[in-house]
Amino acid sequence: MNRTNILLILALFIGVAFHGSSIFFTLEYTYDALIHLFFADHYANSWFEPWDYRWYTGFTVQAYPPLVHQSIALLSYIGGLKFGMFTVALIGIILFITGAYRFGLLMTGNRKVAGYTALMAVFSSTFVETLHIFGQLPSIIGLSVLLHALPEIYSWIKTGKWKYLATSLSLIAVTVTSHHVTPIFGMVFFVFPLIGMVIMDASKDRVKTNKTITFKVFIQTFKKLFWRIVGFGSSSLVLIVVCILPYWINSKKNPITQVPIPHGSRDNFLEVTSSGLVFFMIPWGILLFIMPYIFYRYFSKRYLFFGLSITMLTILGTGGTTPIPLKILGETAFNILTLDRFTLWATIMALPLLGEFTYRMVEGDLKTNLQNRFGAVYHRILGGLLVGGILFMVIFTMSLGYFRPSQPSKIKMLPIVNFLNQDQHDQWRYLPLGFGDQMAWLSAQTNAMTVDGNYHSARRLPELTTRAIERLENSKFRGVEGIGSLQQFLTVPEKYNLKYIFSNDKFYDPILYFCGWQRLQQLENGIMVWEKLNVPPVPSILPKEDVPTFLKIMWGIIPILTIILAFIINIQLVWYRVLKSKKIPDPPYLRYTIPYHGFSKKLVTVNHIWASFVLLCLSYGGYEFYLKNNTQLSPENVVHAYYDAMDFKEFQKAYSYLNPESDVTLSQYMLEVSVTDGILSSYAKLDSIGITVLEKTENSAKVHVGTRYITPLEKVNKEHYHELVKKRGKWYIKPLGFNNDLPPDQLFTSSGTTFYNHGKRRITTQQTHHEDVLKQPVLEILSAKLVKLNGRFSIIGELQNVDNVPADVVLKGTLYNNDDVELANYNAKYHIKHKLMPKETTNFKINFEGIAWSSTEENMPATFDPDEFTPVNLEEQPTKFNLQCAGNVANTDLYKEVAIQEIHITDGRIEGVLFNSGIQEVTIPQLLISYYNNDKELLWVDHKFLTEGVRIQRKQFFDYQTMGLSRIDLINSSLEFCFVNGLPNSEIAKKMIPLRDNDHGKNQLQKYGGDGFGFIKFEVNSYIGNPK
Amino acid sequence: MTQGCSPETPKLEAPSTQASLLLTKQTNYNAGDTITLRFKSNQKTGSALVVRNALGSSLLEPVMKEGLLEFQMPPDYSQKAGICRWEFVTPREKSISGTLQIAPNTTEETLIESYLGPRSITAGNIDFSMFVIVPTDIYDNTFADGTDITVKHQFKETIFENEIEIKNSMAWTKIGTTAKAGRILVTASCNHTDSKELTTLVYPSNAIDFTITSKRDHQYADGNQIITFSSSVITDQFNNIISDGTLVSFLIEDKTGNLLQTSGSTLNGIATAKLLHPVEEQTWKVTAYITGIAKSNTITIDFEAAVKDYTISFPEDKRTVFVGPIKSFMNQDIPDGLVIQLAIYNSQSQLLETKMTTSKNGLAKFRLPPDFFENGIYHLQIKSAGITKNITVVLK
Repeated sequence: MNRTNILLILALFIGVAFHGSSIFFTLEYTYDALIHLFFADHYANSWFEPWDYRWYTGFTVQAYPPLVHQSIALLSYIGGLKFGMFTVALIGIILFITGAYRFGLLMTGNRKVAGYTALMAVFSSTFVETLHIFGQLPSIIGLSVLLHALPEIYSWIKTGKWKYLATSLSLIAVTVTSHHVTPIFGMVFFVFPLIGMVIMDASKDRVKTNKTITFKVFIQTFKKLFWRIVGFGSSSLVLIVVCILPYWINSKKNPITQVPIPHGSRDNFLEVTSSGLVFFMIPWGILLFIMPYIFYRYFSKRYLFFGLSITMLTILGTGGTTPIPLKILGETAFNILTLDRFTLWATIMALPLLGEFTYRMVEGDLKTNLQNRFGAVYHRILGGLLVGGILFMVIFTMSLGYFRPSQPSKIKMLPIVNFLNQDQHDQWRYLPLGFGDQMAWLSAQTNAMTVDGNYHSARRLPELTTRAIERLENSKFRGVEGIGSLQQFLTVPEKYNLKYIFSNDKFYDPILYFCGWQRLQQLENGIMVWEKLNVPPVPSILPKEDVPTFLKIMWGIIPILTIILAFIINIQLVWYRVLKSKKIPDPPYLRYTIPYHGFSKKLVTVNHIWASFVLLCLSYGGYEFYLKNNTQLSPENVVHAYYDAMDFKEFQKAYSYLNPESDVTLSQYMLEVSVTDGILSSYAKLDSIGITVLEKTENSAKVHVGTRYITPLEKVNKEHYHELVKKRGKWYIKPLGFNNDLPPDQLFTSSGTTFYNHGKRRITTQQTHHEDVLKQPVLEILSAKLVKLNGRFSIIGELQNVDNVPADVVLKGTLYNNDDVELANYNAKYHIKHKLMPKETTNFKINFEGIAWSSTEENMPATFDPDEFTPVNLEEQPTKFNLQCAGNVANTDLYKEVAIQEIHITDGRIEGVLFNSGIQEVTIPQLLISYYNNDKELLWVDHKFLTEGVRIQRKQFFDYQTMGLSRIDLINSSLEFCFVNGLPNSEIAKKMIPLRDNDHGKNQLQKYGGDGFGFIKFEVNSYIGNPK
Repeated sequence: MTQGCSPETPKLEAPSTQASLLLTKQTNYNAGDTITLRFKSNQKTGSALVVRNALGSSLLEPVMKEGLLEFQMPPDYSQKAGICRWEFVTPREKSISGTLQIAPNTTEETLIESYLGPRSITAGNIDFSMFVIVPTDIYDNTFADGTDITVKHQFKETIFENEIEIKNSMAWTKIGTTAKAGRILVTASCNHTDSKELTTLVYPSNAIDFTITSKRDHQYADGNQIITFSSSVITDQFNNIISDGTLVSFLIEDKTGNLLQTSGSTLNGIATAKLLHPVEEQTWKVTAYITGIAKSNTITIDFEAAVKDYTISFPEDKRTVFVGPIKSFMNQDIPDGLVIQLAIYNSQSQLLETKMTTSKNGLAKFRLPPDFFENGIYHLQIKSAGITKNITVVLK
């Protein structure tokens, strides 16, 4: 009877203690864990119903194998969802360590080596990363169970005993139901080489030594074992198909239409070093240094197929670094799969050899070899370095989540959940912004629905599937494309019954404001709630894609059944094995133990050279890193560093790059930058920067800096000129002058009308009583036209709030052709003042954006550029339009105290000054510029966001370049189909202002002899970032 | 509140000459009364009563009492005002049928549902709100046509009262607007029950033309002080002060014909808007608009130049252009922030660069570093406060 393996016990002991306690600090901040929690919540609430309405306007959970989710759901009945998640994670840890042990034992036939393998598995950086950074629970469970299955498969093919077939298939079934990709690729990369190894071993049995195994012998053995292999192969294929049949049916029915979403694992790791770190350096970790050993061993005859497999996996895992993965996988698979999984499998595959290496290093022939060759001290130092390296990688990987958090800090969800439950707020959809993967945890806690979601393979809305964005919630990280996608949801929210937005990132605030949203309240956890008026609630009956009942039952029963079956089938063996209650025969692979004596001298040399090479590469990388980050080595570096510092608001650092001999002190500098507000300083992300040195002398330089910022509204290109000086070998930037403008008074007073709407006056759970519903303010459309400029159609016009209360305006335009067939509809985005005081007018423009044309959904361009409109191929010419205008009482964002003065008209441009005469700081001023012809009829509406704000009682310069409008086509200017709050506009015009004086509007136009127009008009729309 | 669907008068159909016979003679009931129908029939088993009213049909089972078949009308039928039709069916004999007339219950409590809308109207003599009253009995039956309802509404010191009648289950009346803006409270009573208080607001009508004035602390164009424009109290034609918050746009035409604009919303009828003084001698013509509805007179405001002149110095050994001291109208330093522009031309009069700065303590300076401006002759043009100056310098 064998002694219980002390190393395995040690590995389990350390593994559970280390991983088991640290998951409580890492798992919730990982990318994936909370998604699985959300799925688990779904099963906990409706086990057999695969349809979930809460994400993506409805999706099916049959898009992901359910075992892990269902297990969490089952456990959640005992202690809640998180209890379930942590328990399953603990089980995953145990399964992985024991799986690694059994895999090691299978490969080497040596219990000691297997023990070392288990120990190495505990500290393998690839496992640490997968669990603590990525949180891929199903993947871990699937892989671990596969590792457990491998010895059984070996035994079946080797011995042909039916019980081994049963055990191996039962484990394969568990793998299949926990993760779909693992068994499929696992078959290719783990089971095929394993079969090769069995044949090798069987051949060896026939010819006695490895050397005498010829190709012929191999084929003969293969023929002998053929039916066992086919038996196993076909039955596992059946299992893969049947166990998650609903998944396959769903995949067939709803093929993934999602355009590829960029993933770091597909990057060129040499170019994008951060991806290289996360997807190559960390998973490989210490294995990098012993790569020659791993490949040498795996290309020995017995492991030959494993050698091929690990080579393949290693290459595939390098992503876009070489063109090979793209060629092997093909365009489609390359863009759908995340390639980090190949590295994961490669590193897992290398574990037994790492165990073997460690064993030989610690107590085997390598130790003797090194000691004889280099002396005992060297062996100890080398061992110390290896242990140190392993520990360094573990700590480094664990600390990644701490120093470079991938998630925003933990959000208290309770206030949001309470808000959604209050006052029927869950009758509308909501959208979290800036929540990271925590949005899944919010979704799990509420019944309210969101248009977003966190499992993009299950998306159905073309607005989302045509965009390479992960979530709307973090759209800023995908630049203009992400913002463009978000804008479509914000502009036409009634299409999705989207009324509430929870903003955890003020970056998105401007776009919300300019799309017509308003701040409702700040919750006690600091989340700002935005709402949109005039959005109907979600209908009580929602569409869903139903599946046959037998699929629902299969989906609900089979996964748990596979666990129960696997448990029943395997428990006896496990029982005997662990408790030694009965002597069980040694598994067949133990007979192929390799005696470890005589470590190849050459290999030691080669590995030494390789390790030195790796070290050299790392040092070179470090040196490059230093050079790039030595900020004041050249004019480019210092300008780059200065803008980076400004982008991250590290003002002290930015100050350190300024010429120390200038008379600006740090406190003065801080004072001046801190009062600068505006879209660039508060809401922009530096996207790219181009630095051109215009002139350069020994000690001075002049550079042109072209910056490109991503802002929530549009991309902003800004040009700066800097003078630089070189002092004592370092380059510095000369500080720019600051505006000395001084308001005349210290204290200002301001009086005005403010508004408040009670909402429900009675505390009741019923719908708002009719007398608490305010009358919709009456608006009047003064003019509206369908025009065509540069191939794009727009509806432009003028609108007035003719009521006595302030109005929030929602404007929806629809285009029709001559046969009254609807072609497109869209809402006014930011070419309108959404909030109007009584009798205030605004000009507007409705652009018809791509998604509005359903026929072009299939060939949407891959990127959305807010500045370049997607010209739409209309089969028919729109000739008529319908304008539906809805007013609702507004009581916020009614700041109108920005004046326009000091207008100077020069050739082609208008310069002027905005003066803020009120007592709120205008963060982002927007100019709406309307063009009129010589008869003072509206031609076009344009906009300009000023990049800097207007401080209280101060002025801000603006400079606007006028457009050429000689090629504008007027298609229709009839007000016949204009409606306000559902009533015909003409009736309203007659009733509200029967004696309208049309000269008033005309008298407010600025004469301007331009290209195709004769008059121009400016309007100001002010976004206030921090209302006081 | 739904009543029987048929307005026809009730009539009792004669029982057939067959053996079955209705013994209950009463055909008119009040809602909520207990209604029991007794039949005499030879068939003791298998008979049933089919009842039908506006809301649906039911089949009732009889109870045998003293040899008679007795049917008790369930509340769904006995409490529903209107016509209730019945049909007595037995397996063998010819069925008999008839109708019952159930009137709304006027003796017990009356409930009133009332609606008033729109909740706000415009002063004058055209607009109105509509008041709709639906009185019901406790069983939610509406009352008969012709039932009297008293409608009262109050405006300022007066309370108006008028009687209206129910027609087609409801009564309605128009509450006409008034010339004065204010609040109208409305209520109704029926059958000794009063409705709740409802409100419509009379908002002022459209504004009529008004006048504007301006206020400033001095007449100099220093680009720093603030001028305030105010409107007179703006009213409508009925002398109501227009709604608070009404936006008034002030359009200012300067001497070059450029339009400046500022706006203010009214508070107690007065709109106030502000602008900075111009930086150079100016004449402003100001007109205010409530676009499409009313406008003001045009006022003219003259600004004298605050800065008459300034000096430029250029110490030859240095490469700095000093502008100033710039003095304002009392010879004080101009307040900080005056914009000064410098255009640099080379000796061939090609524009090389334009620089802009703001004054501090009445001074401004421009550096012309030797790294970018080689030694030579340059023409400099300096613009500030509407005064342009040209100098030619030699950089060494």
